[in-house]
Amino acid sequence: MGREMGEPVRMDEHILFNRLTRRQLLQYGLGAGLSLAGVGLLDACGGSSSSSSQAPTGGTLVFGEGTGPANLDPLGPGGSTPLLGYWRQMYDTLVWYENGKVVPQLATSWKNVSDLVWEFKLRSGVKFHNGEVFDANAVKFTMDRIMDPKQKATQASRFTALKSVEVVDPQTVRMNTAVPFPVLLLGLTQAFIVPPQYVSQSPDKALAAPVGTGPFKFDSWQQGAQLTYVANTSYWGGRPKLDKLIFRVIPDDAARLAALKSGGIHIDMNLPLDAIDAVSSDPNLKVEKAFIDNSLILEMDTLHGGPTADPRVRMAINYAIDKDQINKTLLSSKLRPLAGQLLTQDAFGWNPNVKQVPYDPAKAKQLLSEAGYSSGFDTQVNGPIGKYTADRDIVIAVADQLSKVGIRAKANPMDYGLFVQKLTSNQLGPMFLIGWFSFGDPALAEVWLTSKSTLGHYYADATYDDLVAKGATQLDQKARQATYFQAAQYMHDQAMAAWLFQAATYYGVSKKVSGFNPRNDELPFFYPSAISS
Amino acid sequence: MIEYILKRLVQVPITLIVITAIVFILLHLAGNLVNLLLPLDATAAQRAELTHSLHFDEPLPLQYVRFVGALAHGDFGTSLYYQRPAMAVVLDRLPASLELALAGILIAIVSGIALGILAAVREGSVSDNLISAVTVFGQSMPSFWLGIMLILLLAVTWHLLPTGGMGQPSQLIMPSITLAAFLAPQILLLTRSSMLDVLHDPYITVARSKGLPTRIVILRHALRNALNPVIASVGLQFGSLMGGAVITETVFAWPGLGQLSVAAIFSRDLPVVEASVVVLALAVLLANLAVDIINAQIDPRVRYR
Repeated sequence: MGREMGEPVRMDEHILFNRLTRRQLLQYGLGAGLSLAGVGLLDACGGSSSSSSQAPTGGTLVFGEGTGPANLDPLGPGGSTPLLGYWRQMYDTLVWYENGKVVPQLATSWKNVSDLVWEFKLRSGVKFHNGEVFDANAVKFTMDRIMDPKQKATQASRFTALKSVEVVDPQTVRMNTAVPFPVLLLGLTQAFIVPPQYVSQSPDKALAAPVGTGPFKFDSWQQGAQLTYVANTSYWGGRPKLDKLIFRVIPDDAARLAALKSGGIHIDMNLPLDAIDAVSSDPNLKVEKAFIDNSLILEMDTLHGGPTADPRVRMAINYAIDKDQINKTLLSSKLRPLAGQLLTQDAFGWNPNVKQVPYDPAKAKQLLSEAGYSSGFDTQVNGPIGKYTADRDIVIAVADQLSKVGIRAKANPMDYGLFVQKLTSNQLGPMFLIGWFSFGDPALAEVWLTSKSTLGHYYADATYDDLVAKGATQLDQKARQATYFQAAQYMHDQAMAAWLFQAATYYGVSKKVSGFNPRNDELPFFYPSAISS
Repeated sequence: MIEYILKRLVQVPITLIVITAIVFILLHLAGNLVNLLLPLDATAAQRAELTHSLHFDEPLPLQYVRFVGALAHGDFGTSLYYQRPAMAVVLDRLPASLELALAGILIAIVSGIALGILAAVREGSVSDNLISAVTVFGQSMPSFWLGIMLILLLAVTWHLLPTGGMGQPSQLIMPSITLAAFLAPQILLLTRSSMLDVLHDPYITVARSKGLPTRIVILRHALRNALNPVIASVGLQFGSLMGGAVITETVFAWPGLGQLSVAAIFSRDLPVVEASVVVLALAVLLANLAVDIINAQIDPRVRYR
């Protein structure tokens, strides 16, 4: 069950599996805030112009979701922070992503002093909600806390190459990295700055009543029920439009939808696919969506013999699967086919020149006969049940479509526990459905199909390994992007997998709400939001 | 009486030991949990570390001895998800479940007994048949369906009540009715049949022939004797209501024990699962004990069995 248990976080854990049920989306919302080239959509965040200045001020917005936090530590273990949105309302970060750009927050400017040293100038005059002054010490304290293995902070995995943090003066801080570390800024969007005195002198109090510098102040928490914030009227960026913000826990999908319809909540996170039409036809509601950084692919075993060791067979499988038809009939066209590559469209390094593999059964058959399988072969399509959106149905549909080009495939969906066991012991071949979460940037993607992956070995290719390793340490974003373009093309040509779908998160939203912009990192942030009565 | 209670109390720990043994074995039959607890790309070292820290590398009997030893000290371990003592997490949620179960049972008792008496007294009448029909309906209705229907009607359509949550009295109404809808029919049917038995007893005829008002005959003479099986049934139900309110708690976003234990099962939070099972088992045992004591109080024959 991945990250929800607060297990020790592996330092280079970057890309996680993700299932697309509500729970898991929430828990991997952790990866949030990380889309370099994302459709980050906030319109009124620190320093940027606000387009909704006419929006009404005041009122209470209630956000409905399925889990709620396990505790109130913004730098706690993975399992404690199923949704980074809990913290983002109360805390600021040094930088933030907005419309695909890095924008200043508590850091006003930054530069690379050398390839291994980053220097940040900090905003002055900022105070925590309890009056404590924000300065370079707070940044150092926060980063040290994240990197302390005892803390088991979720965010630790975002700072694998960070070596140390030094205070230059109260408004200047330096971060030293072990290797050139292009995704440092990405990681910093998750590093919620905590007040050093408060946290170190009264740790129990800090857990019961968290204090940040963010646009909302902590008000109260009822575990498993709701988390309430009030506006920070002296916020450095100007007070938020809302007076009060509530995250309400409603685990049941149908009950959450009913709460939305009755006005009990204003936003329903993770509408089930079959509820989307019901919401869009309601005159008081609207549907908002964001395609997220999650790719569903059919991974193939190339290392243990059999037909899928031949790239022509793998390409034939790509041609044999009608992605558009599956999306239309099984998924109500609510997801979208991947563009012939692992990365999703909004992620850094997504190659616009690589295209979706078209459905072409004739071409598939031709490739199969070239590979010596003109009469097809027997195989099975493996996959988990209940981990990703419609996973079982997708596995069955894929097996069915393969049989139409002569590949006699048996659908073999299985319990997730068994799936993991087989995955890590290299038993999921010849092919299996799996979902990858990219955090919007492949720099942390060593685990994807590289020979260093600890997720079983189904693929090993020196060219690809080198490209991934190279991209991870290139500070020049243009050069880094070129590296990933190359990697995407290479993976496509090698047909390392059959590229299936990019997942989406749907929200039911009351028409009273304005300024709510779903992000592809799934991080809700309500500073720009307003509600009319 | 005291001797009777003591005798019953001695049975409690024995039952608990058996229950915890079953829970322990079932949970450990579920396969290698370390794989499920850790992210997929965890290193072998991390797997080994977690295996060791959960004592999964020890022989099962030793693990059990360790488990029981810790239990004897009230130590259920630290929740893997909440990072707090598991028992504390469970006890935090107990009041919410108690509140809901008590409210549900109260509604069920009042409506069940009242309607049961009515049906018995007017045996064979239109109202008796009507009550029987409603009873069948109530008992056969799945609680998730009833819950959602109540929400759609009372909250979504009429805007009379909030859809869920906890804190205001109005939020207690729908979940407690949903719980009661399952329990009330059983109480009603038991009350009815047991009242019918009693009403045909000679001593009731005697009471009537003495010219006592019907109300007195029914409430004071008949009901007291008819209640025994009803109380036993209520007691048995109370325990299962505590844990059985899982669906109701989920539908109404009620932050109770049922909801917690389901979430803990899904996230493989073993310490919390174990702690909740023990608390629920204890609730069932104590409820049964209370029923027996009340029964013994009401019916002297019980004490000497």
